[in-house]
Amino acid sequence: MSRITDGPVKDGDSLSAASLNDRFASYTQTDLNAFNHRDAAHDLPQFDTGWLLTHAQTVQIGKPDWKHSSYVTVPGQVIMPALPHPVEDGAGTPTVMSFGAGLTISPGEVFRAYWNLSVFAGPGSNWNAAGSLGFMNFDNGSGGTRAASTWGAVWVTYLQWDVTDATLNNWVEVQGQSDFSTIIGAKYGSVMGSTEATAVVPADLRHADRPSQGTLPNASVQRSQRWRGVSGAWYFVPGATRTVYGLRVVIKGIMHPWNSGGLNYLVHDTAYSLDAFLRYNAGSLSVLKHRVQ
Amino acid sequence: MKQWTQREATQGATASPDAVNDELRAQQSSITTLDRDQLPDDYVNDTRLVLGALHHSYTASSYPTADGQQNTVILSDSLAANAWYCASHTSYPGGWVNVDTGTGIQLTDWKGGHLHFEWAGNAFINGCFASGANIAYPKTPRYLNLRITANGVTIAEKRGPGYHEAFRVIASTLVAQGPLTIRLQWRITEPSEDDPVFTSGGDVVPQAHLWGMRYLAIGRWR
Repeated sequence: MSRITDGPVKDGDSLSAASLNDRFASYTQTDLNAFNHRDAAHDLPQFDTGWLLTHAQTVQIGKPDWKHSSYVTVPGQVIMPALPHPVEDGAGTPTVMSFGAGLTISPGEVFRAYWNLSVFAGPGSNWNAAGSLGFMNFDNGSGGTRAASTWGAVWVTYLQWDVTDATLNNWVEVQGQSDFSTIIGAKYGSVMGSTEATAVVPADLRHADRPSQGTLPNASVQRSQRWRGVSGAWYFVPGATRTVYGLRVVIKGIMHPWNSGGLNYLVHDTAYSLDAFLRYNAGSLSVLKHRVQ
Repeated sequence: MKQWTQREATQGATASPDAVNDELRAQQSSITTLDRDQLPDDYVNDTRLVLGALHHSYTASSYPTADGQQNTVILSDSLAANAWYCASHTSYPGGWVNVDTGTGIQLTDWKGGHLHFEWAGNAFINGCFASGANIAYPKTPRYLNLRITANGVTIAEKRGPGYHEAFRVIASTLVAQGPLTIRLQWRITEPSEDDPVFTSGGDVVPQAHLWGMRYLAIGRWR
């Protein structure tokens, strides 16, 4: 509602051109605000462009091949500490998102990243090898024991960014994300609280064959998951302004649940990984940046 | 643009107070009824609107805050090293369970309008024993059911992961103005008579766990 505090013209007032113009000037609006336009008065033409959503970008990652006739293969990691495999195009060139001279993220903004990838996990044959974490033993109903899968083995995909410069040679894990190389006793992995930009893919599909009354009379059965997808999301509001030059997806595996000292971890399973692999084709990496409010 | 003219000035006429006041009131009326037809293009920007005028985003890179993993129904039995402190058939009470023991996610200053909610993370579910010998088809398929509630009302529900895999649940709904509490909940299938609940060594079998969780909520008013 507009507010004009000048009193009305009264009988006997001396009216000149100047005083009349002053009164007209009272009705001149110098700005549009909550007082002089009503709720819900905004329509699309009134919105300035590019101030609410301040950045949006998408890149294709991996190796495009709809029929999976050729793909990129990541072998299971057995030498620790292991470097992550950056998702690449099949010719050895990582497929990354570049922000050129840098994308600034302020504390009043939300940075959202989404990624997906077409993947195929090959479990190999060491799920129950000595040292593997992928199995537990159960009563077989005949006085002996039989191994069964824990269903815990996974490959991890997670985000790295370059916050150093536009050369994109300084990749590190995004804030809140571990590189899964923390030493935990004799294992390498991460505590659960440092997996804020992680999305996992099951590494195996092996189930018990007709378990009966709590026992496992039959050998377990290996199935193929075939090609499937993995999809991750990461939400980030910086405490202080950050400049990001690049973003990429990397892979590690096989990882497995582990506990030590009362804490949960996700650790490398080098025995399980020995002849396992993860194949992948294409996917996408998308980011959005917008105001918190 | 709307225009009102009460009077028309003519040469040599005497001006009375009403002649001026009526005209000014007419113009005031024009200003107080500014609407979307009259407002200039591109004037709505971050300098003209107060914070929260149009929307509010709420995010957590880790939820529950401590370490992003569920902190309800955590098993207390003997546990093998290659297992997590997580939900098991020996500890699960049945039904929907909050992922966090806290008061839920409070979306403060909720002015009423459209809610977009994304719940992302990873989920472990043990389906190894789903195909019991004594269970009729369709056996007992194991999924980690997930749902989102707003002030106790379910706004999104998903069958959920069937493996140890990443997940994302997205809700989109209208929520009235006022206090708004979001809860993230999970549920698992009870064991069949054929499920081994303990290993041959006496360790409990881990059944389900949610970890690496985070959320994004956006309120768009009106």
